[in-house]
Amino acid sequence: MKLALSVVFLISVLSGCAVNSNVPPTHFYFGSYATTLYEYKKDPSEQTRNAHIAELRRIISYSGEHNLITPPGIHAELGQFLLKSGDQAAAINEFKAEQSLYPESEKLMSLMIDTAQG
Amino acid sequence: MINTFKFIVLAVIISLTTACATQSNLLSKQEAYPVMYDEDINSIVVVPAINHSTAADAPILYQTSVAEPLAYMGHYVMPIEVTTELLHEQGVSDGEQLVDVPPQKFGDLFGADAVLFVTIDKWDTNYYVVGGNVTVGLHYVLRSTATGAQLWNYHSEQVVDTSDNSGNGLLVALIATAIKTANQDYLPIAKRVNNIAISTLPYGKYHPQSGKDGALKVVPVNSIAADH
Repeated sequence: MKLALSVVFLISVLSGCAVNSNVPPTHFYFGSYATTLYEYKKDPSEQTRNAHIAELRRIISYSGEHNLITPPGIHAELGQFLLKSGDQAAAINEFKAEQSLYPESEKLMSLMIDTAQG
Repeated sequence: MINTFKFIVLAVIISLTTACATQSNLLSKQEAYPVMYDEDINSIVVVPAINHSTAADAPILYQTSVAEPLAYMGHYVMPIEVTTELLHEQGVSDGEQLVDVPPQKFGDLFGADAVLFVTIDKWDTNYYVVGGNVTVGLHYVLRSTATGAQLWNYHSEQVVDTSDNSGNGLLVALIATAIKTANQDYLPIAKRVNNIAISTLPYGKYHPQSGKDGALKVVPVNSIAADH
């Protein structure tokens, strides 16, 4: 019966739809980004907020250690949290990091840097 | 042993007949989304979702799931938390408010090449006499901020059955279903809907196969809608 089950499993995998197995190669590391952000949005508290900020920082350091580019938006989002907690200088550093990684963000990050400089 | 053999034969027949029944109804990305291949799309801004479901918090929760799959397809996604807050400061918190805004406006505001509108058709928890389910149904439209043209669209829906099948009698099953349905998190279902839909999006410049995916036959005919 075990053999039968593994044969069935193999056949299912082999005959599965191409559309479902069309997962592109991962070249970014998002960690638990969506989960910690979802928890924060669902139940905004000091605790869920800090957990998400910690996850953003962890994604940045993990990406650095593994020679990956930090995914789009991570530096910018961290900058926004820092700006809200009053740390303008650190926020500007993050906005600049986003800008130098992704030229597409030039306009938006310039706006954020101007805002941070008040 | 004969039973096992019969079982395998039956399983093979079932697999072969059920798998990819829609194979012949698949379009290539180029056939489905020719306009997107004509334009140089490098950045996408995702605006607040339009909510047609009964769950008031669906757009805010949905929003957490969409940056990741778009980035994996090689597109620069404007930081959603940042753009959402900027729109909020302009008095926009509901996607419905943006329906009549010309797409060009989002290019001026954020410097994005394209704007993604998501309509949440279903974000529901359903109970019926002997079971329950959680459904997420989404409709995506991507428009060029240069021309306003529709670049990509997709409709996808996923249902997760939360019925209790433990066979402990109707009352126990009713309670078990209620608990299971209430606790079912929407995030994994939203992620699944996103993955199915966004896997059909033409690759952006950060994907190693950018510009070479036009021939991939991955777009089910019945998942794309006419422009609206």
